[in-house]
Amino acid sequence: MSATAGTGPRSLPTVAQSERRQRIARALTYSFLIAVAIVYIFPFVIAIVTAFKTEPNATADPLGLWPSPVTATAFHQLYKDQDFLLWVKNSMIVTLSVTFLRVFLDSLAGYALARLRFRGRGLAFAAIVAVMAVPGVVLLIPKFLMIRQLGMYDHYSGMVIPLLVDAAGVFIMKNFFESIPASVEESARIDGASIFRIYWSIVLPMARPALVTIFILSFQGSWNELAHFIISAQSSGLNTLTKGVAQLASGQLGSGNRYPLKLAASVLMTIPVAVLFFFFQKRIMNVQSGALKE
Amino acid sequence: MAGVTLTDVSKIYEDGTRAVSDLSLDVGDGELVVFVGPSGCGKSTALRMIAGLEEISEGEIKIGDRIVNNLRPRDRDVAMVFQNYALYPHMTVAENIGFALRMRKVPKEEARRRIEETAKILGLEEHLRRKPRQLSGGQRQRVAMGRAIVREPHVFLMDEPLSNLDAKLRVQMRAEISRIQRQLRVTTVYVTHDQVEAMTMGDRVAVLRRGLLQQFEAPQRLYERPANLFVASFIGSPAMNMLEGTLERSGDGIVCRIGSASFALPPEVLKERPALADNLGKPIAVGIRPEALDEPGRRTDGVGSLRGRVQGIEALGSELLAYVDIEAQPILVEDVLEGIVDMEAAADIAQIKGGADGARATVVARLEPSANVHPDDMLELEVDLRRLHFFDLDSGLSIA
Repeated sequence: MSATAGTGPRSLPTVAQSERRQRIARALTYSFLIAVAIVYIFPFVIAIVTAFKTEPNATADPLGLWPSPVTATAFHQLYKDQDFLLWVKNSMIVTLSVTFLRVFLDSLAGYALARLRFRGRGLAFAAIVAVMAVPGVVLLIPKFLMIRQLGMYDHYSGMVIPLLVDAAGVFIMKNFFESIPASVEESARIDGASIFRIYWSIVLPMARPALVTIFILSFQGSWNELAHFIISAQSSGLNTLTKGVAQLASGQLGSGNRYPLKLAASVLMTIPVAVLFFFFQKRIMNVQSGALKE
Repeated sequence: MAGVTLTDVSKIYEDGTRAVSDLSLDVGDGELVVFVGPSGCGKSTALRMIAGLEEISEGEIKIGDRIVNNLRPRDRDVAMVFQNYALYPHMTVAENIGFALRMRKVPKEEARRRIEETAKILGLEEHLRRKPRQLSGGQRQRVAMGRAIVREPHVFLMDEPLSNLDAKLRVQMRAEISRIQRQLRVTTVYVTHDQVEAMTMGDRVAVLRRGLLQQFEAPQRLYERPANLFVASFIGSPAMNMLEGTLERSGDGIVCRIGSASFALPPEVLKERPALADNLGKPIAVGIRPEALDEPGRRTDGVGSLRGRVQGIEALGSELLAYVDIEAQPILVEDVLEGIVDMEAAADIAQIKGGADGARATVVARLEPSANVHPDDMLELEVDLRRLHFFDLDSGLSIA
């Protein structure tokens, strides 16, 4: 067959044939994509469903997609038997402090690196980029030693301060500030604004898309942080959601598989980040239009 | 109000590039001076040095009686309008205009009054609560002007403020800026690469090239008596025709030869330019403005003629431009090309290309719109000999 195809005149497929082929190709592609999507979504669906199951139901039919009976017992237990509200409170305190201060400090550092001329600027930036290449795990023990040395162990300060600035955030902010036209800042300089005033009143509002990005990344990052909280605090009064849920999951807080309880905690834990994404997704966009003639 | 004085001002970058060299000029109190030149001529750098956005490498800049070399931009009492407007996108028009007042801690009530007055001058009253992105290009440009006006500064600095507008709006805003400047009598330095803008707006025009001041005169004087080949080519649209010629003595007078044509120069020309007599026998550049060329029979005295074939015509309504191929050596030295090419006028480039084969040159003549001229016609162009320009080919300077 290949010999004839190579030498003889090749007949062109008819319109109907090529349409059929396209349809089949499309159907195959979509089937594949849907299958992959299900694989990704399934664990989350199972988590939600199981949170509403009874413990025997969850044990007997762990992958069942319909709880029978439907119950909120797991949530009730979480509230009654565990320190869930304390974990939420601790997570909130740490996450909000880290997020707001990180947005401020990352942008401040990013602005300095983008716009101010000072000795060692290049070196400072190179060091920041280098830090990005170091895996966080490598730094856990040195961090623990430092936190203890500085007397911050088992205290909010030890949980918050080491997370206040991150290299990736500084990097993102620096790049964003560099994309803001210098003439806008020059105009403000001539108008009489100081460097901090330019940063605060002109550049920062223009950098909203980058700030929102850093905000979301920081919130998500510190809300889901676990390793750092393990090395920076010990007492159960400072447990965050991640630590609490991890302890639940590892069975430290009770016997049995207790799937509904663990998954109810996980589901509740994902809500703030999901809400954040939902509200801010539209904000991650360009707000510069109007500054300059495009 | 105050004038601006530049004395031997230079800008030398770290790599040794001289963006501006020994620039000396003075801008009178309330005067509008235009810096014009092709891109890279140093005009914007000079303006930025006055603003304080660029350090001064050498020389001295004074605003009024104060030497401002080491003053911060905010302490120089200048206001600047940028090419891209540089509005603050997150602020309303009123906040944009009022930002400088807020920085200077002007009382709120007074600031409000001044913002409203400024908006009135610029016709922006209805837009005060809008954000820049809700405005048209012309309105944004006006907001940028408003930010400068509201300050009541000693000096306005404008860096190509109209070059982002479309052609029609540009003409309109040109008139508006001139009107506002006259009304407020604020000393203004205006940078542009557009020689039409320079000619129509400037009380005086400084032509710059490669960081060097070429000529600093009133627009009409610049047009009529360009100091060198570059200025002659740069100012005027279409550009001045540049042909090689020689001067020879003939009896009491002097004859100018261009190709096979020769003209006896009128006595008033010789009187006005006595140095012509020192340039006999060697090739010089002869400049002829398009309007100094005309159809035959329009002038009675002081004329010579150049004969050639019409290559193309452009009827512009108010005038007719005829491109005529004549026997002459075109002047294609750098001074001329740099002046012409920057104007991006295709017709002028065609003129260069047309003449590139050596002994033939294409000249452009500005004729009456009713002129009976057609492509491929043979045309006898009359030359107004009193309006010829002569330049030394070595130095490029005008022979006067």
